[in-house]
Amino acid sequence: MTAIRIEQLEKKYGEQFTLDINELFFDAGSLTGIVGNNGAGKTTFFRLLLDLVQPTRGRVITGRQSVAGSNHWKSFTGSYLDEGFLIDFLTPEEYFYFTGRLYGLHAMTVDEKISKYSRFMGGEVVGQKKYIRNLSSGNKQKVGIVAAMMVQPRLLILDEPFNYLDPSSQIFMKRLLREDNEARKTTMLISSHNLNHLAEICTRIILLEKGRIIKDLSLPGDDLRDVERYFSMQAD
Amino acid sequence: MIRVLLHHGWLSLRRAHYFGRSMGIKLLMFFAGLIFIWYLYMVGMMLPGVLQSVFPWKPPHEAFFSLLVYIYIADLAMRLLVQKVPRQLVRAYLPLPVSRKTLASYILIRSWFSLFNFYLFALLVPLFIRTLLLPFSATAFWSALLGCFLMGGVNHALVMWIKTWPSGKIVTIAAAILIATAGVLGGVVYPGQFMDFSASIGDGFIASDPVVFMLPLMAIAMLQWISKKGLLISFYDWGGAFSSTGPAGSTRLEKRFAKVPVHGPFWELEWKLITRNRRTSAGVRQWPLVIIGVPAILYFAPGESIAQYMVMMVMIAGGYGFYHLQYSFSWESRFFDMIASRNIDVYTFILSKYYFYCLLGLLQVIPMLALLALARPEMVFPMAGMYFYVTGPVFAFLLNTGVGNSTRIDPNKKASFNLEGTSGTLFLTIFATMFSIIFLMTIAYFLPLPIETGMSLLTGLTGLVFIMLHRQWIQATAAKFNRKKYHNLNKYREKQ
Repeated sequence: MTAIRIEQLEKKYGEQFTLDINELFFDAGSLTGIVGNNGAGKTTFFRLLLDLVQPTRGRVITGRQSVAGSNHWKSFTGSYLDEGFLIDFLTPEEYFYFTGRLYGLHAMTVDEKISKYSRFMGGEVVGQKKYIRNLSSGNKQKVGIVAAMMVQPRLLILDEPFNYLDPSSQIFMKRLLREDNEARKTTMLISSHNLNHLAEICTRIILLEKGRIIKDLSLPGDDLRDVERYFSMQAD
Repeated sequence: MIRVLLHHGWLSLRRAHYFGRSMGIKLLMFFAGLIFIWYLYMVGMMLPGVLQSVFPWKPPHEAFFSLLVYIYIADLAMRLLVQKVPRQLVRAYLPLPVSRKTLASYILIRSWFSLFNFYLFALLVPLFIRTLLLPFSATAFWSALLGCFLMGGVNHALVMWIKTWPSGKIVTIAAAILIATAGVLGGVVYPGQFMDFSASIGDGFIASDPVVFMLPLMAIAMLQWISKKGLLISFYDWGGAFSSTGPAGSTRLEKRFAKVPVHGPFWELEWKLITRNRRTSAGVRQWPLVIIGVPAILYFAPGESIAQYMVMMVMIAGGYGFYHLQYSFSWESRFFDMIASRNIDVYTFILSKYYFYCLLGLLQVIPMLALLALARPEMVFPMAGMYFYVTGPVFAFLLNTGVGNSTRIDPNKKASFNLEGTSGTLFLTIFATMFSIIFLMTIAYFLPLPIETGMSLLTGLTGLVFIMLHRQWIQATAAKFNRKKYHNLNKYREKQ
């Protein structure tokens, strides 16, 4: 079953293509990694998926409807792209309760859900009486990720979730994603610059270059060395 | 949901950086607000008398109503320049299950909780008590207040429409041209007709004529409806990454700056700081308006003495530097670690900063002096003297107090009444420097010269002394900066 369908999606700034994808499908329950160098169009792609920027042409369909101008997809989509998506004058707890409420979760349920992530947050996020804006970049990242995951969305979109995280948290994060994907069949789209992280957890890797898909690999099966070679060639 | 969002709006205000400051600065802010309200209140109290003397053939309330349209044209112009749309929060809510229509409604509702919609009441209430409530009736008083609120409401709705519309810049320019045209038509071409029209609106208010209430109400409703439509499209711009003001890369002017020996790199940096910073870039765009506006105000404003304009002139004469140097080192706070760890001499760094703002002030003052020579020639020398005074002792104090009293600043924030990056001490210094001029004025009063001449000489000479000694006091400032290096760096550094 298809969770996301992309049809002739284009985003141009001026005359320059930021994204140009003719057709793309994401199966329900798939865990897809999006890779590419800076400016490849990963974040623009996610913004288009979340209806945060208007496509020049084409559409993104989730839940049988186009995301553009509609709200239907929000109730089953969890996402975290960057700090700008946090309400930084709230404490993490307030932010979790607020987000939970939007997805129909009671405060007690939110508490339960958060406790599942307490090790990931490492005792530095909850109960600190700090506003989100006063947290370190790593802890802000954790707040955003936990808020996106705790509502148990059918579709999870995370942009560079491993950034700012310490090595232990990165390992924890991968475990959480894999468990969630297996247990609840969550469709996940994750971007990262670190190919190794994605190779460990993803069932599909898409390589973007200047807004276009240049490789679409299934794992295990396809040879990931193609992607590694691509990055090496770019560096030469 | 809108209630929850409004509660968040309240939290964002209560927990804002500028309320998280010391009790001293909170008190100062409170008193600054109180002085502003008191000033408007006093104007409201005195206005009936002034109106009676200017328009002796009209009762004061009619005289006031005949100026109502002008007041609201000025109010609209000010709102267009200063009033903000509460948009900063929205980005975080866009991917959450909150409908965009709800968000648009929230923004429009929250925008009504703006001081711009209420400040005039500090003037209108005492004025209407004296001119309507006491001589006429409570109905006339309340009707007039309601009418004025609705007129302000139309301005509010107009500004929200302009500022939320997707092609806002074009609409803003069109609106500015319309306001200027209305001002010229009303002030120069058809003043009589405008005043009659304005008076008829006021008469309608006190007669509780439903038409004069319905028309602005309908206009507000229509504008808010259009604004909501526009917001739904504008969200796409707000949901993307925050872009810095102006394109990246060095402009021709920046390249010129960079070529200046010794100070060039710092000047280029300084220019980029003010043009790529949300708060300050707005000021740069208003620069031509200030150059034209100040001589125009002085030309039209009544009053013989320059004393009335002293505080304003201190700020104007300093040009952009006065505003900027209030935050002295806060602007660079985001990369002070870099400055501290590179081969950069602090003395040269501060010296370049000083020269840069002297130059910027000069670029503002020279055309202004030329216009003043035409509009109010007697103001030319006082303004020139003031320029020396500001670029001398005022800049010296601002730079010196800035060391140890600046804090990290968020360049993306653009709230104008945002005291982030300053402190109680610096705040007091700014007040002290503005009002220090009163001390010179007192001395000038006792000199055997006309007060304008005395003031011009005293301010000019004091300024020149400081300018001549600038290397010495900048040395002292740099030494102070080095002494407080670790303390400051720790303050500027982002909390991890």
